[in-house]
Amino acid sequence: MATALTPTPARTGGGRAKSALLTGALLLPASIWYLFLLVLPMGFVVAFSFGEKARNGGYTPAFTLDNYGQVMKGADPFLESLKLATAGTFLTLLVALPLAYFLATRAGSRKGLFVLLLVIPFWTSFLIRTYSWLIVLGRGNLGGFIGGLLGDPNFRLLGTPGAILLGLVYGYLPLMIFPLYVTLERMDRSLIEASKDLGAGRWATFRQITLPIALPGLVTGSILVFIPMMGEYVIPQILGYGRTFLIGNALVLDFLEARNWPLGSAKAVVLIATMLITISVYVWFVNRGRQARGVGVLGARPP
Amino acid sequence: MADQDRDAFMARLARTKVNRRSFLAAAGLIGGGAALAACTGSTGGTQAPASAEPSAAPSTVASAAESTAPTAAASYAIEDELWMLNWSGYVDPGNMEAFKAEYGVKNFQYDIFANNEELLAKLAGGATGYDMSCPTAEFIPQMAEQGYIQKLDFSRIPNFQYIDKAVLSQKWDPNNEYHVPKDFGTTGILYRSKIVKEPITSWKEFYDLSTGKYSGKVVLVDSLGDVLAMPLKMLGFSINTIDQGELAQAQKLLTDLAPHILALDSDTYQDKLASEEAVLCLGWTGPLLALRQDPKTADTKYVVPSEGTMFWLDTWVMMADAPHPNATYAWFDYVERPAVQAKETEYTGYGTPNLEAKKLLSPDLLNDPSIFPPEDVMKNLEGADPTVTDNADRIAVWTAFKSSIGG
Amino acid sequence: MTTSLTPDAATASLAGSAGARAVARATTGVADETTPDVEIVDVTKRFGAVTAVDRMRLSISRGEFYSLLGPSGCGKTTTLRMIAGFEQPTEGEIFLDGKPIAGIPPYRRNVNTVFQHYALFPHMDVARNVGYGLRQRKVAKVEEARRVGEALALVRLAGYERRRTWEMSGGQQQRVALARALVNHPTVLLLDEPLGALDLKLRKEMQLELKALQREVGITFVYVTHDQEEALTMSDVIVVMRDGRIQQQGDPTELYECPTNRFVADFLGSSNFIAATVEGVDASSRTATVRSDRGLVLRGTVTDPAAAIAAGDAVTVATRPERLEVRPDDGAAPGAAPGWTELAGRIRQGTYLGDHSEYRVVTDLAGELIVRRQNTVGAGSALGGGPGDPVVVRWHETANLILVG
Repeated sequence: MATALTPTPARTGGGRAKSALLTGALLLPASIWYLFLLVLPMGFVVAFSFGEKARNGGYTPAFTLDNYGQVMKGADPFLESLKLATAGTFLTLLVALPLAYFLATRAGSRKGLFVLLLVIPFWTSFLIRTYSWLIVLGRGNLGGFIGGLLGDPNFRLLGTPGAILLGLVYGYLPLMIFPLYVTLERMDRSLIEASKDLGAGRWATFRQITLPIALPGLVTGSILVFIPMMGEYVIPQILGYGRTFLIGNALVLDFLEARNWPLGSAKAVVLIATMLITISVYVWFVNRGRQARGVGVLGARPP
Repeated sequence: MADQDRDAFMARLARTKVNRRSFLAAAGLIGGGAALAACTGSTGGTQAPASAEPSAAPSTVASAAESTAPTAAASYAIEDELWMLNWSGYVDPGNMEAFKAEYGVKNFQYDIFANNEELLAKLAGGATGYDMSCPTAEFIPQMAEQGYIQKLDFSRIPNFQYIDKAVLSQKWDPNNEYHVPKDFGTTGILYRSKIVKEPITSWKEFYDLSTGKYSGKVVLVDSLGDVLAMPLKMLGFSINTIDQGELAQAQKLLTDLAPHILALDSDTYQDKLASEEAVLCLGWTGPLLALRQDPKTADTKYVVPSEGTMFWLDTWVMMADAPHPNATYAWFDYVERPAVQAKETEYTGYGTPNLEAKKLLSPDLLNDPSIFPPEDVMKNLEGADPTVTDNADRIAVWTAFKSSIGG
Repeated sequence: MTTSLTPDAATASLAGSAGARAVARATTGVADETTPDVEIVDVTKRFGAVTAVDRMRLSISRGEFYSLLGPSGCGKTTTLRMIAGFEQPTEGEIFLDGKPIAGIPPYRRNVNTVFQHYALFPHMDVARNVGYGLRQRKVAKVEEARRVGEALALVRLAGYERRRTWEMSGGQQQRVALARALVNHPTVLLLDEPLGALDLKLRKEMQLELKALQREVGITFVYVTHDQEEALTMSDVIVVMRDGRIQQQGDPTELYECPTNRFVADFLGSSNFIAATVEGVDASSRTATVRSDRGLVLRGTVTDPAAAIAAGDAVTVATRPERLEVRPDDGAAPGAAPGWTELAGRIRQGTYLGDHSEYRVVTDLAGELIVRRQNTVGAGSALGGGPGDPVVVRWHETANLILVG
């Protein structure tokens, strides 16, 4: 092998250069995209967060940690958002898991139809869908109906944490279902038979085989759902009647109303950090013990 | 039942001009009202093709028309294009067609923005080629400072003389250099008189009923300046105060009000009123016409509080680099002709500061105190001071209030 | 159960399971004193309009290596899955260790399966995979580790406990799957074409290893395959299936030497077939004299003991290619010795295959015949010449198998 390779270093080198060029070409559009729409803006946000508010609003270059000090003093919106996103992610998972499992394993030839039914509502604007819940849960319909049953004319579903959670679950369900569905669908069905064959019942099989194998999809789905829920403020505004003051509200207030870009930037940086930490802890948690055996969720996978 | 609800709901959404402080618009969710108000008829886009006009006569007809109009605009060559950046559905299409015919303007472009922030973003993003726009007045200083708009030559807008002096010389344009007032409106009290039998004429009465008998049935628009106007005016202070002592007193009132609030909502508060989920509302006049037209909600009343309140003013401004300045001046003057302006008011439902035009309005509109408040209320109105909107103490009052409502 | 019962089946169902077993044993002819591990009694499985298994009856004796052999779609895998519990019979009954198992879910059957693609759990290492069944039974940790170690030693994978399964070779994965099943000491081990994914050399090694392993542990194996050579190598009993029905069962020699119908004769090895009509039958020796359509008279053994044939019946004569001899035509008149058939023909095609050569010879009386010739002295034993060369083909009447149907 070695002797065969030595006489042709030029060709090998040329081939390598060519392949590097191709790699570069393939990555170029995404790199430009990320550079200008993610890295650069993030850089600005970080830089702004150490600056000072200009006299008429905006930003003047400076170096101060005051903004972060102020963020730390008013942590409430962060906690509110964190609570909401955690509960929302968990509930979405509870709804999505059985549904994805059904789709992947039991829907049979109607699978395509079910997936279509699941997707169709999302062809409508997000806003229209959220508004629709105003009607469904409103006093003319479900809210009034339940109020009638309870004999409480002032009963309402809207403007409650429950309504917000419902809106969150509804709005982000597909983001959770599809990664789960894909991992479950790809899963070798004979694994389930093997488990039953080895003496594990339905629930034991689900717990020991299906769930661990679906875990990468579950983690992906949770992250996909958690991140936008952290920044969510439209659903709480519409279905929650704007009664909550979330990090999203705080950012809008800082940037548009107070025109205090440095403070808003500091909050944005803390928000991103909060999400990164939460996600890291989460991934670490589900990976406990798995990483050691090389089957970690975000680690190596079978070829 | 549900169908009727939905139809009424969609109809109200469609008829309501996007609020200047729309939460959703700020979130970028309503593209100039296109998403929800798609059926307003005049939403965005290009006007009807020129071929639809009877006879697009150039200079001859223009000069003929000029003789009937009290203006000297004809001494300038009117360009055949005019580009406008405006709120969705905010100009009577009939007036635009008539203007085109009269002045030989072939293309009167109507592009839209959803809120003032979006307008600024568009301009900052390099949107050029527009002749005029229609920001809310408190944005004038910023637009002037950043060089987006130019000072006007009022000798070319003779009809400016009809504008009510009460809305002029405000903090946003103290020397009246940049703008022609278009429409004005107030922040006030909406309530369902079918349920709320108590007479309401003041913020004080509104506040007492909100914290008392109608607790939990109160909706406020989700807007700092508007909500803050209530306690400040109750206390007899300026709505634009940045005095910490005055703000602390206002905060006390707001904190006590918080547990009685149903919703902070700038976008669908009219629906909460319609469903009687809320019976008291701190809001704007925008949805009033639609609510009154529906027999089920015809009892909705709007009050401009006697202590005074905030008023807003939308204004015509000319872009600094307007490519068609002559046509722009022609339009500014044209639209302030009393007959034309009266039609505008009938179309938008907002109050006009054009005193001559008021005389031509139908009595229904003219005698509506919610659109045209009486003289003694009018003098208590205050415009927002653009220099205090970012005041940290005011923001802190607002943040504390919002946080104290609780999920 | 109510429709289209054969008289035997009716008796069986009336007599209950003991009777059924007796009947089953009598028909399979396997002499075994102990209770069979698996008994399949008149089992039919339908998937919609398709009948995958058709009134199957089979008794699987303790400690034996059974192969279910047949082309794809013959019902062999369905049979296996019914024993495992993944499918329920539409009709009939399956007994495991003498007890009916209808309605018992797979995880309560003392049966384990080695799956076609191993079905190893990707998120567990080797030891966790192998110990899976033990953990379901709440076996203590120490005990689990001990038995896993034993099982891995049995399949020659001692020391591989902490390995990731998907990093191992196909053969190693195969052994992990075996260990995972065997560690539970099942009554019956079911194997669903487990060597299909391996390359030829490894497959041959594993065949011998599997057989040796089966001897060592003494557990009954039921092995599904479509590979006749695999079945011949390993099995104590081969069950040939086609279209959901058992065609024949017996030990490898019996099946190869004495196929009872044309399908078995063709599927297991290869055969020359000559269509013929019965001229006379010798019931005592179960031989018959037949005449081919072109007038060739042959004598041979009637392989199916149950067949009742008489003169005038249409039959097929099968001969194995290796039982035929071929030599260059030296011009000598074909004077056949008693019991031998000798035919002149011409080579159509000759193929050198290393250990043997195969010739297709066209004869007037028997049509095209395939003749196999062992290359005992290397290439020198090849005939030489090529297509069109005249040859003589001969064989003894003991090679003639007379098949009915």
